[in-house]
Amino acid sequence: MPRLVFVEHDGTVLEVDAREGESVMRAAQAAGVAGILGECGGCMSCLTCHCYVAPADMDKMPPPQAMERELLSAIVDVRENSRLSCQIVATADLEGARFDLPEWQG
Amino acid sequence: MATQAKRAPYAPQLRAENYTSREFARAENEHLWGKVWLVAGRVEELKNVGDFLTFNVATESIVVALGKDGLVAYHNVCPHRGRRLADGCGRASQFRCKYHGWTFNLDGKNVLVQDRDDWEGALDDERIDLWPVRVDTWGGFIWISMDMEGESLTEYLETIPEYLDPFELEEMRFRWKVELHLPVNWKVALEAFMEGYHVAATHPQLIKVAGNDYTQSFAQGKHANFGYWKDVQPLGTSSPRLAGNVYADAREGVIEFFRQIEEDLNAIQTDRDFEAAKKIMDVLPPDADAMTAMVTAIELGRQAAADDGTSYPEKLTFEAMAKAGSDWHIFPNCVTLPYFDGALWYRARPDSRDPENPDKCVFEIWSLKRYGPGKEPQVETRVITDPVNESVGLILDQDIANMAQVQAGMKSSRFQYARPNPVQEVEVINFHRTLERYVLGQARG
Repeated sequence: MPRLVFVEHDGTVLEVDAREGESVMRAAQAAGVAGILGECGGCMSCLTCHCYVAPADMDKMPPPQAMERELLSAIVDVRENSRLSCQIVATADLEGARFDLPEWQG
Repeated sequence: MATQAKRAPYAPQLRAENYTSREFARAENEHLWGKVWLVAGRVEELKNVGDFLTFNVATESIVVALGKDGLVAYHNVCPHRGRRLADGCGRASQFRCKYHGWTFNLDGKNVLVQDRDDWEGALDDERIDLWPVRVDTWGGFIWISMDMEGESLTEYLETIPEYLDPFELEEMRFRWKVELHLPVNWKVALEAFMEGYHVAATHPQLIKVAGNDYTQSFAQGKHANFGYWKDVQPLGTSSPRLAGNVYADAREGVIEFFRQIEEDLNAIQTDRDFEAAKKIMDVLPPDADAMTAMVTAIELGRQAAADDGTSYPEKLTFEAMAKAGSDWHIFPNCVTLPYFDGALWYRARPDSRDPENPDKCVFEIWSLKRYGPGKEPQVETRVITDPVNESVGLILDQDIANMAQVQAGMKSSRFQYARPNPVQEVEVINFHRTLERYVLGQARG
């Protein structure tokens, strides 16, 4: 059970024990992380689970696939470390990984 | 001061079909809306990057958003299978079609086609970006034009900025918004506010204190205005149509004018102006003349605005106000009545749920006001589908009561054309002359 660290836009920190194999988006939703909406359930049609992965933690997970990369480019406040949290699978490697949340989702 | 060139006496005519025929409504949809600049909303509605609003007119739908580099506007349709992309208003960093997920960024560029490889590269030569619409701003309004080769907004507005810039409409914010769904042609609704000739018969209570209600009106290119320029009397005095002055004390007449505007219209002049006007009872003697009473009330209003953290517009002198007159028609579908402290703005459109029906329209009334920093209210649009039973205040109720009667009356077999007043109803006359040039290719009659 990797422990994930979510930092809301207002600075609130939530530490969440994620089940291995579930998506980071679902782990955040289950723990009540306000900055992750995940309205579509994880099929990349709503773009409301956008997060910033701490640069030091980027190599703990596989890079985004082509479709996710293209969709990320359409998000106004996209950065180099942007990801859709529904496309990141929680594994033991993610222990301690930090996810900062944007000001708004959409 | 406006002057009217002498011309031979004439009795203008306006074709009844312009209001009642389905064929004319269809021709408007084909030749008018796509060729003119239209108000899509207020700049204040889009505050953050990603905020969007949609504007439907006739068969068209336009989405306007605040992009990273300013306003952007597109035809609100997915090039894939034609689904409308955005609905209402909200905030999103991209337009994503709910049907198959095709996605467009705020620059209108297609950034995702699901399973794009299925086209084996053939999509590269196909148009899959959003169709752009021109967008600009004036007076705090967002304007759009679907005519990519047409004139600029500045050219389109002609003399309007010269007359109306001093009012600083861009400094005002929504005070309230009403959207009426009416069983009348969009022009019938708008024209209720395009002349002052109706005031004595439709609003008899008003002429006791509104000064001389006689108006003159003038074409201003495509647009037009009317004002009270002949035998001017101060606000608070009675119309010369009445025998004598209703209020012997001029101060009481002025206060009654501001009371009626505040309580029965709730627009143009403001609540702040009404409260300020009441103070003339303290600062002026009972025998003050009418002009002194009116000017003092206005100066107290100016002071009240300053005390509230705002001001009256610096360049809006009494001369500038007299030059502009009281009411402007901005072709094709807006009318405004601006004042120092507030303004009324009307917008009329065919009902886009039944766009070829000449007997239906969506008619909006926006009351705008100058506010001190951070004092503007959060305003929701009040939608009214049953204006007979839901009031928008005495004065507007009186205007709205005429509309359905006009639409019904014009269908009489004997009524072939309207006979507008050549001095006081030039806004209406010029409207149809201009409209017919767009819709029929030439002005008739």
